[in-house]
Amino acid sequence: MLGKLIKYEFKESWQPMAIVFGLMLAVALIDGIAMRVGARVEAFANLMSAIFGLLVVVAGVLVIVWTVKRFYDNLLSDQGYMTMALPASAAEQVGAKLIVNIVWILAYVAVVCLSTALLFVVSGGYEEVARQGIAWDFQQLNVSIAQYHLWASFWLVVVLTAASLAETILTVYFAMAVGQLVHRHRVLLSVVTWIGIAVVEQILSVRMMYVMSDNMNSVVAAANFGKLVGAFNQSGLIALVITLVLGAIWFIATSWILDRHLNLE
Amino acid sequence: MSEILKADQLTKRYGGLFALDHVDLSLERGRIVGLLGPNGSGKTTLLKIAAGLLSPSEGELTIDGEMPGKSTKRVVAYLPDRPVCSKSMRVRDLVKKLDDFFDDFDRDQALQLLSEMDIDLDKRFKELSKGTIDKVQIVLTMSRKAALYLLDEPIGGVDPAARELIIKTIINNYNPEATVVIATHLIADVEPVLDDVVFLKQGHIVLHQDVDGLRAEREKSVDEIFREVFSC
Repeated sequence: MLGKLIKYEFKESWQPMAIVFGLMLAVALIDGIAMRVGARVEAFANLMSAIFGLLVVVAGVLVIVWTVKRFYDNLLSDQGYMTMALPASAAEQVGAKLIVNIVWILAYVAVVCLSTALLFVVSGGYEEVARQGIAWDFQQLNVSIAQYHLWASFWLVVVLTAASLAETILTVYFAMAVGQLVHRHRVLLSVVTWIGIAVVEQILSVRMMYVMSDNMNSVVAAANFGKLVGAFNQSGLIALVITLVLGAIWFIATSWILDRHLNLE
Repeated sequence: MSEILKADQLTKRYGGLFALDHVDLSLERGRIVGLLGPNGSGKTTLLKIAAGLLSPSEGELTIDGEMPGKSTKRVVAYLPDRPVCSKSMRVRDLVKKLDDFFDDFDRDQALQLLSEMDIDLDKRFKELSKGTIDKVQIVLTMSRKAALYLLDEPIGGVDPAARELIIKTIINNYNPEATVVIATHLIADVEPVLDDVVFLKQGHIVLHQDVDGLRAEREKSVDEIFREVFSC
């Protein structure tokens, strides 16, 4: 059932994403061509660069807004009469939305990187770098990476970022689930709930950072890069565990509310 | 177990207002039941709790002995009283979706009925009139071979000719072993097809009886009895 929910979630949401992502790539391409043409179309190139920058921000906002709107529209408003009548548990419904939302957000990041790279290459920026003979000592870089296990750190950052993203999305879902418990002022209660969670999590993460920074300071003072990487990885792992636990709590709580206390009105 | 739906002291409160007030109800299998009452009597609330879309404040409701949830949704076909599809969705896509999710969905029957009603499968819901959307929703609901059909105002928003068509669609296409609950305030149109009636007034059940017995006892039509019970 989860597979079917994910399939239809993608089917029903891909079009606005495709439009926004396609637009970003197209603007990057046009901007790159304009930059390559040079002085004759400088004003146009500058305009396209501004549009590209604005589009990156707008697309990011749209993806986030869509995340919230899709959950609300499809589960908690009129469409919920059909969606929540499907033979699926609340956990499956929430899980499907979460997975698809994460995929779209990661797709947004990938498209930003791709369109920036496209702009860089099409505009001739890559050729300029090669022409100026900027050489990277890849061999030394590989030695450092192997010596200090930096790939582990890299992947830890990637996994932690994805986990944090999922946890943040789940706090929004939870807030909306709490909001639908009441008859009136649902949106207000959702917003207040989310702000409350954000404030508490922020306070806890600042306290945790203080504790971890004490540990880091002593390592930095010892001027040992290996130990610094080790301390960084340790802090990252602790943060990952906490994020996963919090995410699980919000997921279970959201699913439980929608399972036992759904109030479609 | 011959009982498909059982409500035990079922209550739904919105603040100080009782939408359902300690309702006890038992519906047998294989019956067409009219859930009758004026606007605001609690019909929609009762159906939504049975469909698993609303949680009770007190008491419980079971479908075939189970609380509303994933397993009961497999055997319950619910028709809401409003358009519920994404406006950008095509009729064809919704048919495919329901066929995918429900094992008891009869796709061929759905396509045939939609064709008989001259409904264009490639139209998006935003391009359809409210009456046509109602028809699409009733066709897709009745194309399931469910154990319990919950139809909330299936003829409320359509013209008299369409009402007859919809009632005919319900009677000709439902699973004959199933129970059909029709919530409506348009009694005269549905009376000929009902086996039992439940009168709901301000969240209370004031009458639950078989139609033939009720008519014989009071020597009046259900519509006339309804007007007496609910006269202002």
